[in-house]
Amino acid sequence: MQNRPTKFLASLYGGIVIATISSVPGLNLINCFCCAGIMLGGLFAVFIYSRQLTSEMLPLSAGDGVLLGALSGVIAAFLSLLLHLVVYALFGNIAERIIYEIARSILDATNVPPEASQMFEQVFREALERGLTPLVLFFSLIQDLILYTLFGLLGGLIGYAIFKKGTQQIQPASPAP
Amino acid sequence: MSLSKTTYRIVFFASLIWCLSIIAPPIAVHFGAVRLADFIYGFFSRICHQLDSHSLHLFDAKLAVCARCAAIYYGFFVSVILYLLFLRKTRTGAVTDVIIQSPRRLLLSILPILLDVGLSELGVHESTLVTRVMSGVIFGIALPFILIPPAEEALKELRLKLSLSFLGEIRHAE
Repeated sequence: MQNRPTKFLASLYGGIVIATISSVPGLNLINCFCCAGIMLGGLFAVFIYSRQLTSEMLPLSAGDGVLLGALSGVIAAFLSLLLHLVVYALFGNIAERIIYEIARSILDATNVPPEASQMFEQVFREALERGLTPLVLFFSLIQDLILYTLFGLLGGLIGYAIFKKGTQQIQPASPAP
Repeated sequence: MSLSKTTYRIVFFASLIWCLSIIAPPIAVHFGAVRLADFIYGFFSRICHQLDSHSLHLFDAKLAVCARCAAIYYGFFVSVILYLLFLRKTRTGAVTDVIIQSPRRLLLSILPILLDVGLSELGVHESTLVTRVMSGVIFGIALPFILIPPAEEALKELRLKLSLSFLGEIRHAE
């Protein structure tokens, strides 16, 4: 039996997919569909890893799927934080501004009472002025770690269900003589 | 096809907590715990657009996620319960095995959502709360049949690894 390749590289690819989808404004709307972008990253990591396995190696197992998906999520949480900082440094609060413009156009198109419109303006103005603080970044990282790991793991499991070759059953260890 | 109680309990309680968190914000608002509601809305805002017009409401406040997402999660939870009943009913689990062995077919369950969103975007059909909920429920119901079997395998693998390392430690100590 040959040694299996390291899981880190496949997880890194998965993490890059998750972080890119989650951090690029507009593209991150994919995650509005039950974290599809995050699950896609976990699934991608399993796909990459399954392609690296040869017939001389142990086949892909469910544990591999879980580990690859979860690890992709953890890597993505840190990469995402980095990308957020880069996007913020380059474009400022672009995501909030896009949401503001969309919401503003919806409000303008409908007959919203002036009080509600003023309240909306105030809330968004405060959010845009607040920007990124260390506390916001910390809580953002914690939330990302929970969500990305959880949904990355689910993506890894789906990936295993799709990319496993044939039915593999784990045999219980034979008792020691 | 066998299903251990541990795997089932993990999936059941995880999805139960998730589903309870979805209805928690409107209940919190109803009882005046606005900060708690804001915190939960904030958490779920990272995974859902939470548009008021696309959401189901409870006590005049929207749920933590949109109607489609809520339908997927509640469909999943209901399916987790049905999964156990289904396994018991078939006893040998033969029918479940057939479904599990074709996960690609099960991915077809996402088709109603894609059609609903795609045709709505093209202006062919209007996506409504009913179509969002129905398409979401179909996908949610299918998911446990894809996720539970590999989760079961992964847990078996983990147990095996733990017991092997435990045996190794005992031998090392001897």
